[in-house]
Amino acid sequence: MTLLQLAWSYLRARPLGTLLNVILLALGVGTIGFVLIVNDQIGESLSRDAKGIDLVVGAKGSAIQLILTGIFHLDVPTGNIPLKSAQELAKNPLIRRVIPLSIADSFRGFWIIGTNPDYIDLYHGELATGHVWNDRMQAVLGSTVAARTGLGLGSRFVGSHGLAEGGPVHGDSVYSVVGILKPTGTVLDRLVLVNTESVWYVHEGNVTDPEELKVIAEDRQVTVLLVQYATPLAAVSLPRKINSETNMQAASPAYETARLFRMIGVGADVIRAFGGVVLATAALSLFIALYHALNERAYDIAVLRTLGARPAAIAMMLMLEALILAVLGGVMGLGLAHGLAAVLAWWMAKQESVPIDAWAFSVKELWLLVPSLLAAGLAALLPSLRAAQANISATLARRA
Amino acid sequence: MIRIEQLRFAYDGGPDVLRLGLFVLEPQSNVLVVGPSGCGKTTLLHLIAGLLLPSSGSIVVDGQDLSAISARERDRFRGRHIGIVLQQFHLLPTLTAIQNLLVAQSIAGLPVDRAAAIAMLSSLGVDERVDAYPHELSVGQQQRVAIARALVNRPKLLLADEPTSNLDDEACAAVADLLLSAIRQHGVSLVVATHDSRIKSRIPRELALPRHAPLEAA
Repeated sequence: MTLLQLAWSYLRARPLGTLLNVILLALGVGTIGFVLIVNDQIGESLSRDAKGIDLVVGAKGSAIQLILTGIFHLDVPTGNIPLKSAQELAKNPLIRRVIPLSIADSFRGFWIIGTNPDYIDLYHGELATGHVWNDRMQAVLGSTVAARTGLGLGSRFVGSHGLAEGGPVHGDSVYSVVGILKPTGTVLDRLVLVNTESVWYVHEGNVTDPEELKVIAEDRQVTVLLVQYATPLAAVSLPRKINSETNMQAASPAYETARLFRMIGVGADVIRAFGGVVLATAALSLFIALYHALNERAYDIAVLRTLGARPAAIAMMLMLEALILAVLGGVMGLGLAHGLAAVLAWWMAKQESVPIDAWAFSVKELWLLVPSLLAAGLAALLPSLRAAQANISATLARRA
Repeated sequence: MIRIEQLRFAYDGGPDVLRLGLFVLEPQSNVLVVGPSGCGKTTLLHLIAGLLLPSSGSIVVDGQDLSAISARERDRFRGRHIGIVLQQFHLLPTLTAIQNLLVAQSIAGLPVDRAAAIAMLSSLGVDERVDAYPHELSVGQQQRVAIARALVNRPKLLLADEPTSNLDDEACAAVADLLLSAIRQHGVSLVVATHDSRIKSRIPRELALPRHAPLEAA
């Protein structure tokens, strides 16, 4: 019969009050935890997608839009850039590698990206089956695309212009699936990959006249260039040079992603603050419950003292009651946070947006028990001290 | 068992509530503390239990001067060496009968010994309802459990504060019998504070406290 068991016996004796306090604590922890998990998961997901990309170059416009288009494929392109400018840039000694992306069409809500095999290497993509394209109109599917559309090797499909399903269809240009990638946990999973020539072919038609072809080739464009620096020094001069001396725009994924996060962060802060308010309410409710307990249990406390309990033991008993609630509420709150994240993950998956692993637990989450323990500890502080200082002799004499 | 000398007690700055020149209780003997209401019977009991400290003078229980040790040691001493029965025989309502005894062992820092607790309940005739909660027990059973709890740590001294004052004659006699047989069985000294004249016949020795007046041992 330890103090812990004694504390638990009092909690069990008033189940409704205990439940209310656990629920309030769980709501507070759950709300804060939800923001933490989602922030973490989106952050991880975005940084996986942006890994290895030092600079994104595209048409002038919004820098965030360029990043959203070029890396995360969550937005429509700002426009295209001339192939010649791109080829010019690739010669720059500060640049190690340039991966061109041509983005124009989609298939059932998944972007069709014209690029080269470097793009697959960038995300360490591996083929689950089939091979990489060796000619135009051959497509390699990301794992999510394959799973969601049911396309397999040899399947044939046509792209539609833009991202919306039911847009103008390029009915006479049929792609066939030649490869399917293993899941990478990156944006690659949600893309249809073809070679750049395929995208040109789809939009130019089958031009055979060499003269005409030469004219067209002069005007060829790509949408975005993913740039890897040859040296960290490139970061100092290259973006500024591109932005001021060319009609292209350069955006740093690290900087723009951070900016994006700051913008989303306001919303996250609001939700987190709401969680804080709920926790404060929980603390108040717990304080009131314990304060009542002081009066209701004055005689119990006196009896415990006659049995030899030290004032510190009495204080500890009340404190333990609060801490038991804090742990129960904290653990329930963690469950709630993951549950909420699962709902959001389900919704975002339906939108083909950034994937969230709602059930990924990290040790860091145990820190979420801290606000819960803190709220409970603060709530129990005054009642505990008062219980410890109670005049036992007077309490016993009053009843006698 | 108890030796009280030149005892004086007053609440902070107030007049003396209690004065006692010399009082000695031999081991395995009993005494009634009597007197009008407000004469300090309960106060004396609390002083002997170490719940209050004398303003001056000394109280030695079982060889231990209660003023000479720290509050913490006093709490521990009380838990291990003094059993206390209160007027309402108050049991902790969230614990079962047996748990009320186990918590007494645990709080006193003694090993939790379920067999000993059941034996104690058995010696008081309530070993059949050890897992019942207080509200499931009759008043008589609650009294027995409370006495068992006071004795479970094998104290040499049992203090009882008005144990019979709210009881009818029959129940009063039963409680008095119970207390006396329990202390005889376990070799315990008993101090009963009461204004209940019905138990005077059973405990002949009296310590009479007049209201706010100095007093010598009876």
